Amino acid sequence: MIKVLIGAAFLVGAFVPQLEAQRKDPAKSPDSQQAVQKDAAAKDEGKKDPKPLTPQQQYTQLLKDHSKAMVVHRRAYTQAKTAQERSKILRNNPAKEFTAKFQALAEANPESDTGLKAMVWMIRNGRANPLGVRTAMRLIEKHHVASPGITAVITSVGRSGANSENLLRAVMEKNPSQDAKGLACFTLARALMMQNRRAKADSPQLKEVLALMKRVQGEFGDIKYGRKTLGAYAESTVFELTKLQVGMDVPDIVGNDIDDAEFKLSQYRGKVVVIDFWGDW
Amino acid sequence: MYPHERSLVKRLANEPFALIGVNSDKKERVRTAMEQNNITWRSFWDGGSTGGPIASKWNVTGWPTIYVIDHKGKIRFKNVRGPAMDKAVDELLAEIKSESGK
Repeated sequence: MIKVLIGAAFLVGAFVPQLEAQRKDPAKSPDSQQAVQKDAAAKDEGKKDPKPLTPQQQYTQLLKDHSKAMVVHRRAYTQAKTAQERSKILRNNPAKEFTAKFQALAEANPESDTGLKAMVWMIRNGRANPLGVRTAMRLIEKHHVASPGITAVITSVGRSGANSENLLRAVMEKNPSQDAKGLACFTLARALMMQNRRAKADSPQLKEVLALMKRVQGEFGDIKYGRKTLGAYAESTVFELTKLQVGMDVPDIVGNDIDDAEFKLSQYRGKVVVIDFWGDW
Repeated sequence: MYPHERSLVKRLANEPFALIGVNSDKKERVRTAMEQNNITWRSFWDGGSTGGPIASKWNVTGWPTIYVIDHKGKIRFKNVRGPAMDKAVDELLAEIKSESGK
């Protein structure tokens, strides 16, 4: 089930640039009209060299170019007639080509915010290019562990699937922002938890997860995360690791059944009980 | 899942055994699912979403998630599926019998 959900999330992710690109019809959007006017103005001014684009402008341009390339890519995919054609098109995902362009931009401006944005793009679009993810992770580790801008991207780093452990530890140690430290601590704990789902609670890995989550509760509990706080999320993992392990007494559950009648798990003491968290999907 | 659980519940109808659900669906959907799939066992209704209070507290992030509890209230197995679930339950039922036989 989880796999299906993750798959769906990737699909949504893959379609977003396309949708955005469609919304902005290039022929009609004010941006491109301005661009056309600017081009015309440049011509009028005569033979002056066009001003080189700033890194930020280059970044924006790359985003636009990538959106356009994705539109073409998706169209080719829907129009493909055979499975063979489709898989060939999928192998030529524009993200591959654009990873190299964003990487060039990042390496030319490694210390700047724009450089960081380009690195983050490489991570968020890394499915077509895992090598790009590792490169971006190295660049961030080298240049941005103490940047304030890192806070907004830590979750993406943690979800990239690549080994983000060193980077997250470095952010915890070196970033001056509480938000960045807290998020890195939580993200590291969650990544380690996912990697060690089947380990025993007293294994060194899960002991570290517990220590990190307790640190989140103690030092970073009030930081907002989604609709809740880091503290609330950390509490669930601490509960699982300290109360829900094999050999422990099961905590009681008190709740209502679907007809609103209250009942308790402990009513079934004396019986063997299978607790099944389920949904009809 | 349903056919396996149905057969488990049916097979152990006369044993000290209970299957207890924690359901994350909207209410109408659980009702329909229970009717259509002949689900006779009881479920806690967890507020209609996967972020419900019980699933959140128990840190459940994948469905189904399974816990097997012995007659003394100890957690003995996690996430056993299919034949492994049957084996786990049978093992724990045998413990009850051997204790009462002493």
